[in-house]
Amino acid sequence: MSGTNGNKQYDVAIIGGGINGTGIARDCAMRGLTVALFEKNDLASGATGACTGMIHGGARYLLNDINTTRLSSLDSGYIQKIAPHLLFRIPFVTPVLKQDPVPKIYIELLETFFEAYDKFAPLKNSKPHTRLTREELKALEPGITDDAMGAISFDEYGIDTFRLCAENALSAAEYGAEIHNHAEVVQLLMADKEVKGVRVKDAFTGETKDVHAKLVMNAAGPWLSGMAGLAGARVQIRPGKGIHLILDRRASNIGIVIKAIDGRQVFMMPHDNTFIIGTTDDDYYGSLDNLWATRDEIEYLLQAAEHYFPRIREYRIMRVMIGIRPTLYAWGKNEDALYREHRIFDHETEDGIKGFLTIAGGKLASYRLMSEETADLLCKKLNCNNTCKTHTEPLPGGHFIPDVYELAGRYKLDPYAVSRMAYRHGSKTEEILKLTVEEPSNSNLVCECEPVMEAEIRYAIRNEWARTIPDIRRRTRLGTGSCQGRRCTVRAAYILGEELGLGSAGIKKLIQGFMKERWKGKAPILTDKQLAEEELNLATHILSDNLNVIIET
Amino acid sequence: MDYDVIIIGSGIAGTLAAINAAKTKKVAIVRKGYAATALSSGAFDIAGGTGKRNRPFKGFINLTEAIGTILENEPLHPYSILSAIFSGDRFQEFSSMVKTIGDQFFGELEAAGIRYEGSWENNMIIPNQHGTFKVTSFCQSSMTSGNLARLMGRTILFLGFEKTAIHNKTRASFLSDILSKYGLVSFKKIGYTNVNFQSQGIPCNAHDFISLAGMMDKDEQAGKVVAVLKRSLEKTDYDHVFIPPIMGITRHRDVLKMFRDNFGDTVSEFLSPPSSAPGLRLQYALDKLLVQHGVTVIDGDVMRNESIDTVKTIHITFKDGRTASLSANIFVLATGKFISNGIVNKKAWQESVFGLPVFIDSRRVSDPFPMNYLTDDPFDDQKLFSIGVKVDRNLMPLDEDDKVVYKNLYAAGSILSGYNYIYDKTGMGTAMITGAKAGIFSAG
Repeated sequence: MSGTNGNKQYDVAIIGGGINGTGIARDCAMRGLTVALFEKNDLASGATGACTGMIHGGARYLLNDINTTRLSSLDSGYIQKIAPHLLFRIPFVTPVLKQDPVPKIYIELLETFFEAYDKFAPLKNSKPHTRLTREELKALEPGITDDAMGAISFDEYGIDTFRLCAENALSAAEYGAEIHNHAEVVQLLMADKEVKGVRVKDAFTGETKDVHAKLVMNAAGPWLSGMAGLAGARVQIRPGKGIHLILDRRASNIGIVIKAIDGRQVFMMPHDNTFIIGTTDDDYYGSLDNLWATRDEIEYLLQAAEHYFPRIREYRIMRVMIGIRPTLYAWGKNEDALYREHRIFDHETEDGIKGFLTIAGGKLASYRLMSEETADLLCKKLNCNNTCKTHTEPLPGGHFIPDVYELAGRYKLDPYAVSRMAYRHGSKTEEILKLTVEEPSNSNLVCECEPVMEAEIRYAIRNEWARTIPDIRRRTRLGTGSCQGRRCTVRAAYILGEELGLGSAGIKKLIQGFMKERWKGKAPILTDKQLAEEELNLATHILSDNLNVIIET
Repeated sequence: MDYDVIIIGSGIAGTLAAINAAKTKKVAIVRKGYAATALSSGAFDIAGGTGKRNRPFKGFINLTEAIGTILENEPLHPYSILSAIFSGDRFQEFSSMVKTIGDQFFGELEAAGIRYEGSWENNMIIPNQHGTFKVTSFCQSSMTSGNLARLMGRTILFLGFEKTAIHNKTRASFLSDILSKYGLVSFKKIGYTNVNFQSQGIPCNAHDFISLAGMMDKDEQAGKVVAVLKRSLEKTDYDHVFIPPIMGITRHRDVLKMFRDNFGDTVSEFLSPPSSAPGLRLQYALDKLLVQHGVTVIDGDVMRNESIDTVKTIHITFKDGRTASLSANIFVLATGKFISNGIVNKKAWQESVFGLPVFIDSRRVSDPFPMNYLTDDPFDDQKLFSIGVKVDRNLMPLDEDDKVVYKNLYAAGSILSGYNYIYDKTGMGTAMITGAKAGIFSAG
């Protein structure tokens, strides 16, 4: 937190570096407000990073809330404009199985539904639906069950949520916002019934500091109730745990909408260079800071996937991803029936506590809209008349899509490595590639799976607030491939150690931190090829590197 | 009968079993490929004894003492199980058996082109590519020249290769920092430098030391690399240099000689995490030993077997899809753990060829959920990695009631339960001793 000016009074202090916090920070900063954001862990390290990662058009609201579908589709179109590099089209099919009740009628109903959804397709650059025969479906995806009678196709878009969040933070910073990760708000500064700022604790040094602000915006996601409690306000959410299974590369090139044993809708779909199956949705009562996937959750998803894709268990499941949805509170409903709607609480009108607001609920696809709505309210309170520009101005990497082959040729680098970098950084790619000219070793591949060059890692440390290896992972996808950190952990630790000037104790902590973080996702699914890989991983770090002994000393 | 003895798996354990049985018997090895041995660092942990949290690191650990600790405290360790056959001083007799088997094996490896060095008294401290060190008993001589215990007070140079693994200040100082914390070794200085082979006309794939090591098997390429290294080292002040392990694979002896002729014993290979050229080098040397001992090598995957009370026939599928059935009087299972799919987790945990029950701490396990056998910290001694078949003192697999499953089946190496080679650092030693003994038992 070296950057924060202790005497300064900010317009807005934002608690939480998820997509809401960074989205609001961007919008407010673009409107000229002074902003400081505090995140106790890292950008997108909570619910944002664990979500399905789709910018969808809100098809599920079509039946009872057409306006939400229209707004979702419109916003999906906006996000494609401001972050063209980060989006990837995912063609989906909704198969109809022999076992479905009255399949012949079901497919007609589905088609009618998607005909209605087609009206919104132009808003989000999607193709209209098609109806696939059993043979066409089989030709498109041979892995699908022989019980499939046909399918309806539609289009959605996927996004790298970590990059989306980081790019919002980068944009906010370009407009003067201060972004502080690993900075936990431990207390709210109160005067009578007014919040005057936040007390922030640095996760590395343990030092605390008071930061004053006219308004404090609570965007702490699953942690928001605790934050509201610090002000004496009560915001109840119904935390919902959701896990995804992450498979190595592609089980299919298309997304498949499937139904689980309880009839819930689950997706299996390509995402970045992996394939994900999810999600679950269960009320959660445990620690928000220590999430583990259970056997039931994993089996529930595998069983659902197997029903539609019989050989799914033969694919390599690399890990599980676990998150908690900060769903709006409701009693007496099933988890899945809870609205994904959001609410902005102005605690002045709700609880008589001035200077403090909370945003709860919501979904990734409408993050920009929610940020706009929140920024509107904050601006109104601060008498700022500037209007929102977040839907027209590209995010920092979104100005153009670079020519990968041209760049790879000019910088004499592997085109695939450059293409992955260009996916993440868009128009900023060349800024990073220039580092390989300054220092040739910056063209080394540190993560061979993704792959990730040393240049991008140094860039993430110097420009994108990366302080730990999981931070680097979120910025660059380092360690997310099939080796799950076997080859890159130690390499990344030395680079980070060098950039931050750490001694051996600090480097040990970095290695230990990343191994533990990866382990959480791997351990509950260690089978088959990933188990073999884990034997190699432990042989690397414990048998060969002796780290279990070294770390203790 | 097609063979007297059929061994499944050709890592350290399978090879030791084969060459010991082949002294008097007609032996075949069936294997579906190379696995953990070929991927290994090539170092022979006999009793690193440093891995467990409850056994604090004691520096230059005494090997015989470490073996004694295992025999005393770990009744399920294969060392302890094998030592049960001795009636007198269990520890003395077992230790001398280990030495006899080891000396003979290392002698054979030297004849096959790889010289192993080490001691039956103390472990060595070998620096590795990741900037840490490993405490181990025997290593290839291209590495033992870099035993840090002999380099006290010297000037050390880490040499990296651009595009592959480079060294920086942090990496170089990490080693001296951690070593000084143990009060083990201190150097005058650790420096680093990086060489760019590409710019000198030597192609060098990113991160792939193995392909570079393979190129070194050709005299011309090896000459070029040595010349580049010589030029880079000319201006540098050092007593000892560590380079990534690239000193050849099939012609390691010649490549090492070229290094020794040019640099004396001042250039050593780093120990490397998997996969590494020294591991592959070792595997190729094992293949040579199999040929020398007249062992038939069959490259195929065992798909099923016919066994009631005894193993009668195994059915094999070759890579090209052909199949064959083979019979033998005796079978030895040396299929390794997870890397080689020796133990699989389908709907339950089991041994993959004969469907033998598997055990952790002598308790039978089948429930497939891995978290049953793991903690939340990867640095803990993870029980799942000690899973394996349970054997009697003759290395014959047992069922839950401690009854021998098949009267003509032995097991050796990391398919065995009762130890966790990753944490207790007895992996190669256990594979070597149980492999040799399985070979001796099966030869009758």
